[in-house]
Amino acid sequence: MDSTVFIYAGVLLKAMGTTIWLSWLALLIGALGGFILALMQTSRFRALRIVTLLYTQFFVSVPVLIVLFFCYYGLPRLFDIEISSFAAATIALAAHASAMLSAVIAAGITSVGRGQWEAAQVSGMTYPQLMRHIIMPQAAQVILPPFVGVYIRLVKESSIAALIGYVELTQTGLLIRESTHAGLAIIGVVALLYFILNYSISLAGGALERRLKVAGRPPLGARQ
Amino acid sequence: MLKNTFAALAIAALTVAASAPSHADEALDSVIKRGTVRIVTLGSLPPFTQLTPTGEMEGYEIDIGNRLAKELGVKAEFAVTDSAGRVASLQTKKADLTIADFTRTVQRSTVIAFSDPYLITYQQAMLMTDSPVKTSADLNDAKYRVGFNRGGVGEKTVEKWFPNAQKSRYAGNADALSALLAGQVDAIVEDAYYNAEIIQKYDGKVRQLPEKLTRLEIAIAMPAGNPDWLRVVNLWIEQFNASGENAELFKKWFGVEMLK
Amino acid sequence: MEFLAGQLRPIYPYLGELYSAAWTTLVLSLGAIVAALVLGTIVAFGRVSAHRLVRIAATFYVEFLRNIPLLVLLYFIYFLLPALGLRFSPFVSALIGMALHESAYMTEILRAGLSAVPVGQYEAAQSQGMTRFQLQRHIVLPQVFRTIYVPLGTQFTMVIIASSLASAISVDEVSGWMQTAGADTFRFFDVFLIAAFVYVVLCQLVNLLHTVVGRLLFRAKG
Repeated sequence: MDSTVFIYAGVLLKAMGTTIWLSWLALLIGALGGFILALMQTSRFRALRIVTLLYTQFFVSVPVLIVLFFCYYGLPRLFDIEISSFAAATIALAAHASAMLSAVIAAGITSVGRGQWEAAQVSGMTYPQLMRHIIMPQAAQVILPPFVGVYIRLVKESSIAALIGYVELTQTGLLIRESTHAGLAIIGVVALLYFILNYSISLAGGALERRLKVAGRPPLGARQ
Repeated sequence: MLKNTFAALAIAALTVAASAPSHADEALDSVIKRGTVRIVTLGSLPPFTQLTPTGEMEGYEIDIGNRLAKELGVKAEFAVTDSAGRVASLQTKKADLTIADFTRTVQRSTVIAFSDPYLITYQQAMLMTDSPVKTSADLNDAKYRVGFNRGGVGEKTVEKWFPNAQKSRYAGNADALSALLAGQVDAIVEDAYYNAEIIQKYDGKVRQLPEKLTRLEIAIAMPAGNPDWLRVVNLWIEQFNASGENAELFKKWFGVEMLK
Repeated sequence: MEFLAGQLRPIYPYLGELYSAAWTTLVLSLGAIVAALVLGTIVAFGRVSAHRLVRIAATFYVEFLRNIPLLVLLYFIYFLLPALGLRFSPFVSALIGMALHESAYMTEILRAGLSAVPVGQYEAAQSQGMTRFQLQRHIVLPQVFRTIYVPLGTQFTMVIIASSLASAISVDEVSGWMQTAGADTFRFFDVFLIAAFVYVVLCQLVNLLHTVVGRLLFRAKG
């Protein structure tokens, strides 16, 4: 392997940061979207449930890559707006993330026992208070492991942004390839970096999960 | 008396308003009014465009843009985009012109307008120096695989000149080049100037087949539906070519004579 | 209807290529999932092996492949391996990459299936005088297959979705078709809808097949 690899260490680390940033942003927006979708999914209105179902089913059957291409090449034409590769990648990834997370969050919400809901209603809490103090902390425990899984998936998925020219870790590796003759070896380094990144995230997620299990014991009116 | 004067004035005003040029050319108008022409380029394609160490843009196409702006009496404002962005920025009216190594094709001209060409070049096949292929005719064989950039002119070139060969479409020039170097394809088709750059950079590892394949007309592109804008730009191009100014500028940046 | 036909007219010339692209997607995915099953089975046995080194190697295999992007893996196989003497065609490179990637997930599914086989089965088989190999083949594998059959369906659709990345290494499948047709006609919205439709149809077809075959194979279970 070339010594050029080490020269580019700084650039690669920065690119890793870009990847983390992109996937993190997609996760946050996706979580917001997923939360809304989860509320729709657990609502009383059939129409809302159907809409959510269509949306999530779409992302299970259609590759996020073509959604990305559409966002980057199609949206500007459709809505007469300019979309950068970063914006297109964020939109596509966040949309996918929200579909993945809606099921997770909905499961979290419904996992909290009926008794909790009733006890809280009797105690006179409003819906927002209920959500904030009783439901979400318990739901969080259920949600966390799949959340970490979705994040890891997003980090991997963010590599497709390279195909529309966004400079994240994969594209950086490909650009370095252009600048140096023996550059192809850089792909191996990139793979290694992704591995280190994602493995660390899963380890951290596991540790966090264990801590939550100890700390987050249900308050009053536990197990029904 | 007052009433009549008033009526006369009103009629005069209406007449003036009615005879004003009915929605004149949007692009030309806004460029003149704004005092700047927004030009989009590819950013890093020496010597067409490149970045100076101080962060400014320079190159053959930058000079073209500056000279055109000067003739129009406005200032040139440059922005960078990628291949796909050239069309998008014109369609969304974020740019008034693109001067971005843009080959004009009939298909592209259904959505944007092209000026007359300012540069003629050809696509040529590039292969590894130690390849057994001698001529372009040799390459037209089912046992060979030819690579090219997706969505560009390469598709037509390969269809026309190497219909028997296998095709490989790549996401960009860099991928196509990597494929050639890795031996995944036997040849790639790119424009002659790109090939020259690569040959120089890779120091004898690759060579070009001499046959000129598809003729490429590089032209300025602008949003469709602006006939006055097109007319003005074309006039400038005509004079730019005829006066020898183009040939001179080309020689300055490319170091060789222009092709006719 | 007239409007629709007019809108789509520029795309007509490309529909022939879409047909072969869809076949490529299907064949590629099918090959990948079969190869992934084989690989996954081998590695799953490795994961529960008595030998520590084998277990570690298997674990590393799974963890590495699960944490890297498929795109990077494809680039590696198609562009880098030739320098090491292993040159595969675009289709084969994509198949290998997808098979490796998918096998990491298969391993976990199979491992769960393996551990679901009751211990008593092993003892009963041994008392019957079966060899280890016979045991695996007649007792263990059929039960494992039954357990994993349902997740196998989901994995198959995931592989079809993943095949979209093969366009990056010049495989002419559906997403590649979308890029080419879109770049030529500028009708990005239309080609997107068509491509999305093809993927949905492919996934639904696979699901349907999966359900039907499942009913036929496991009729006794019900």
